Amino acid sequence: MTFFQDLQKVLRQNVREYGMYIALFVIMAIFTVLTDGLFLSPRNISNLINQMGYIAVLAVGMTLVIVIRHIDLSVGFLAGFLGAIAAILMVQQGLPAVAVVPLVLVLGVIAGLITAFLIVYFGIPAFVATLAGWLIYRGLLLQATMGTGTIIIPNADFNAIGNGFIPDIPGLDFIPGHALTLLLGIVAIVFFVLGQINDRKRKKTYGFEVLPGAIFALKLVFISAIVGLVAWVMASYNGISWTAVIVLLVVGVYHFITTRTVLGRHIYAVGGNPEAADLSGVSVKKITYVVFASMGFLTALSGILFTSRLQSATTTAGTLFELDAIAAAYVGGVSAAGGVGSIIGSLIGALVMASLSNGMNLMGIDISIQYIARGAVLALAVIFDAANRRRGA
Amino acid sequence: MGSGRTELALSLFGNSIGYQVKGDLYLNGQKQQFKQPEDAIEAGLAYVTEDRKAKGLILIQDVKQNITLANLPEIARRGVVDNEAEIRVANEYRTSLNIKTPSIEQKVRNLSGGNQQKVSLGKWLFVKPNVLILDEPTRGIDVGAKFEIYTLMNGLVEQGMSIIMISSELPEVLGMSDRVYVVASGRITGELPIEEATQEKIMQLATS
Repeated sequence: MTFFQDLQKVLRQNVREYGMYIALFVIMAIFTVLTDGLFLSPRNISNLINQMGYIAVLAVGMTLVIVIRHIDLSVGFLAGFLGAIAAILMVQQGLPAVAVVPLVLVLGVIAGLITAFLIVYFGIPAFVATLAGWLIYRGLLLQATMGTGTIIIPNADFNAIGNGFIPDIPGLDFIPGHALTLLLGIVAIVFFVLGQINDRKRKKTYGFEVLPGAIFALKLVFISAIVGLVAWVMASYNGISWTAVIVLLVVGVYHFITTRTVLGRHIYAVGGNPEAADLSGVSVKKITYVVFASMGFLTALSGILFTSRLQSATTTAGTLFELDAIAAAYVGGVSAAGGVGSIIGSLIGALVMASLSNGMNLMGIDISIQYIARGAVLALAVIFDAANRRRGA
Repeated sequence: MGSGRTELALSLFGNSIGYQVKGDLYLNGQKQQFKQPEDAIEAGLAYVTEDRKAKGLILIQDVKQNITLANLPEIARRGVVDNEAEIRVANEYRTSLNIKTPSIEQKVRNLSGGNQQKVSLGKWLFVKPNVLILDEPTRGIDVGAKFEIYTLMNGLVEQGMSIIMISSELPEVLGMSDRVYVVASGRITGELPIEEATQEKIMQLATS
């Protein structure tokens, strides 16, 4: 009995955080049932992750942009434009992928700095500055692909980023499926469990509130099971894709920066109260430059992932990416009021939105209904947030 | 209001954007120029704002994050915050300032005015300033907390800290000060050693 009382209390206190996981779980379960298991098939999960990759990295960057009370509408067509640049450099200039990728990432950072310059130096609202960017990058994308139309990329290295899988360890044929993927899954679970146990112990020594033992165990089992399941499903297909590796790396690095570093603290301080942050010696200008530079970097990465996935640069690449990324961030719990929002949350948000599209596609639901359903989920998530805040949670 | 005291304090603190400011700033006989609050903090200044909700605290963050915000490098190694050190620092100020909160992980929004003011003070004491500027430090807080803040101020001065207190409450000014400057319409209209300061004289300078 006390276990369920505890569970109720914990769920009520962290309704937003756990609600998201539960929502994702429910959505996945529903689609699995409705598609007779097709949704959870290894091939589909692998596809789903590769489809969401380029939105997920945008959502990570957008989270920080929204946290500091700005918005970036230009990222979609900037991603498309930078993807086209990458294609042109490889196809027309004959540069190798290893040179093109870093070059495009640098261009992304520069584009982000230009946006920040408009906002910081001229005081233009981010909405307007990046709307201008939206138009300009759309025009530049059309310019870049004008003579050629769609540019097909014959570069195998580059195309592997969006379509390839990590190699397996040779000589482990007795393990069914992709051995390295299983191994990585196990390592991830072990690190997660040990980290959580350590964290809980540390918190206890300082007298902070921690989860009751049974619920803590339940949480560990639940998350370990999901990680294990995903690893197992992927291992029975081709293993982890390079896209998944890149997304996990980006999420890991950004999660660390936002939760553990001085820079992360400064970003959330600027978002929470810009004036107080400024008077505390945190340069709001500097943080704005850093956040938009990071957004530009991730936009370039998104463009590379998308272009590589299609193995070509198209004239409409990046259309609506910015809105998908913004929606993912809001579903993930970011607040427009600033200072609130987590990287993991936005990743889950991106997963929720991608699962909806993917699941409805599998079921053959018309695109018109898909838009309505995704809009409803976005509205629900934000209504849920607003109600939560009023309650003071 | 409108006398220009807060504007003066902010311009000392490197935040004069938007104000018409002329003049030189000397600290320990050395001329200083602060382009931003960061420089002023570096030089040993601290400014506790009168408007703690709008300009002082990050209400949606917890007590410990607020206390360490202005001096994070002190508890960080190569840019990574040392959580244990942060907890130690926050608990230190919680005890020494008698901040009443269920936990240092409590959101500052949920504290009373007096305790919010103490968090704000704790944050600025943690930068270990030589000169502490307190802008209306007792506005909107209860008598008990007021007394605690006065006691704290006296203790800090004994330890060698210089305090500039901005206040419109004359009893407070006369009770706490060693020297009184009167500011009216953006100018310093008079300087009084505490022996000569009376309510009448101050009012005269303030309205002249």
